[in-house]
Amino acid sequence: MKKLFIYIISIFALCSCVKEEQFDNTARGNFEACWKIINERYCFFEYKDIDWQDIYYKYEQKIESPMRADSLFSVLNQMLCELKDGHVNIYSSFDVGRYWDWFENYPNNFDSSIQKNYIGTNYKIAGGMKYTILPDSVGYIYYGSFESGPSDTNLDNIFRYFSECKGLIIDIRDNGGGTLSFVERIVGRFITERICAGYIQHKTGKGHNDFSSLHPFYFDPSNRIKWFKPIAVLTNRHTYSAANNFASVMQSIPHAKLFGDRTGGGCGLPFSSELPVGWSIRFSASPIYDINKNLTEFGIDPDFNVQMSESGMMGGKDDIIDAAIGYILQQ
Amino acid sequence: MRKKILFVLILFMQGVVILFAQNDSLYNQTGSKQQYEVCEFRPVTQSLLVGIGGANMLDTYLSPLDYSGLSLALRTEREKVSKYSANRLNRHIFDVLFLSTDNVSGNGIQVAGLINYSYSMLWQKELFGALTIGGGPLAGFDLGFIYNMRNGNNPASAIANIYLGGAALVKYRFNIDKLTRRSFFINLHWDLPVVKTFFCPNYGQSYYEIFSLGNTDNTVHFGSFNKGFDSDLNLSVDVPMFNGYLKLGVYNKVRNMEANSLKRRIISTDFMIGYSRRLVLVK
Repeated sequence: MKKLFIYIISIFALCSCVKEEQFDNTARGNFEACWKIINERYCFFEYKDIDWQDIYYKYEQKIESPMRADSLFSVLNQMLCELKDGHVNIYSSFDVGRYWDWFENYPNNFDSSIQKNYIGTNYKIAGGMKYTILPDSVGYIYYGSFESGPSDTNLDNIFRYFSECKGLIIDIRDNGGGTLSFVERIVGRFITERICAGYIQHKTGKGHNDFSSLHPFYFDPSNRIKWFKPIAVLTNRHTYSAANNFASVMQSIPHAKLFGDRTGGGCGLPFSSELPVGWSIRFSASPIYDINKNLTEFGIDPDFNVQMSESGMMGGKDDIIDAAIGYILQQ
Repeated sequence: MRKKILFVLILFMQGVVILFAQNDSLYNQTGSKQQYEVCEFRPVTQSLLVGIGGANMLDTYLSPLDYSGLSLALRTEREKVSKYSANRLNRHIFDVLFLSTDNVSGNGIQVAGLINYSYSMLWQKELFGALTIGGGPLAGFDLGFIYNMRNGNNPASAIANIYLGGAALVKYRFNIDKLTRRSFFINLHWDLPVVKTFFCPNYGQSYYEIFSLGNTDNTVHFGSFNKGFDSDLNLSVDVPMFNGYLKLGVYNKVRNMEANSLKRRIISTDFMIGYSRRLVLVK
């Protein structure tokens, strides 16, 4: 019966239907499909000065027939790592290929056990945010992922709780990103008028330089409880993607300053696709620029570059939180 | 047991069709030529069909791979002779399709939902007594989605398409009972959209950019066969049963789209069963 369905469908499919090149589910076919998807859809070839054709020649020599699945996965992952992009991954049922040098090759500048010395265990949690009031009346929010975000009611309660505080620390260290719309919801509490939050661009075709013009996007102020006292945003190399975007927008707000290490970057909106073998691949597809029309793919420098010192960590101190408290108390 | 189930199914469909039918019906249509020539008597045919079959999909916004699998269909048809001409038929079709498909390696699922409405005006002419042919203009729209369960920022693709085109029918009547003049029919319908305007995101554009940030430039397109071939082709047999007709058929729907270097193809072929009731309206 199934064959009959396929036969009938095939007759109609042959009548002038649109077609896409289909690759065989072989090592060679999967390699070609992977290379082609990235070749046509990846958005940072020019910015990163990557010769993708050269990379094809380099890795196609490593393709054998037959080839074990884990060996093929390894070759494809190595090829994708040439893009030096944390948003590029290959997913199989036995492994996730990734490029994590953007934070693994740098000091952590965040230690959750040291953070505990500041927030204890009695902190509050709302909308994915841990929050408490530190000594000297400084509000502290730890936001570890933009995957889950606060509702407007969550934010109202948090800012009401901080109403007597002298300033606010928003700690987004080790925040690997998530949903961009949460950035707008939070930033809306810190602005008095509509601001340009950056520019977005997308590919218009398969060529490496087929891009649309830059489209500005704006954030509007919230009409609920807002915060205009000093803000310190804490970043490290693992502040990535949507968190990087949040840091970028916050840096443009006059009463907010960035403390800590350079962010990890990741300013390309990732898309997904798949290979004939069924492995998924993810890649940066749509670049997002900051308000100065610069790409922040390789990160944003903080206003105050502060590193966690060995001696401080030995003593249970977080130099970045201490620097942020000091800044707020001086204002 | 099977006969009982079939009987209950037919009764159920008959009930639904009666509910859909207009209340001002007076006579059952008997298949005679005479009724179509009297303009005051306006035959209405109402049908409800369900179907199951196969589907094939491609949407390069989501994946470069072909997906194939199961198609489920629900279809209502309403044909009514126009009050302006006994030879003109106004035809309304409402289709709902649900497709559930797998990729070639069987570890990716892509589902789709499609609603289609079309209206056509068919001028029909009887040839050689039993054969009727017809044709006329067609208008319709498609609304739907394709959802790929493994994707992140590009998980779904929206379908919105308005079209104009032509419709054709060929109908052949077999008299099987000269006493009651009951007949059965073989019907071939072909709806062919010719021009269409449709939604398509840009090649690498996210729906976040379109709907959250409001950048809709170059997302609405106009075209004809150069933007993809669409078709609805249906072959059915109407067999007299009770006061109406048991309707059996093969219904094929083809939707193609090509714009912004993106391609979409949906093909479904369903084996349909339903019940049709022919009524005559009198003013």
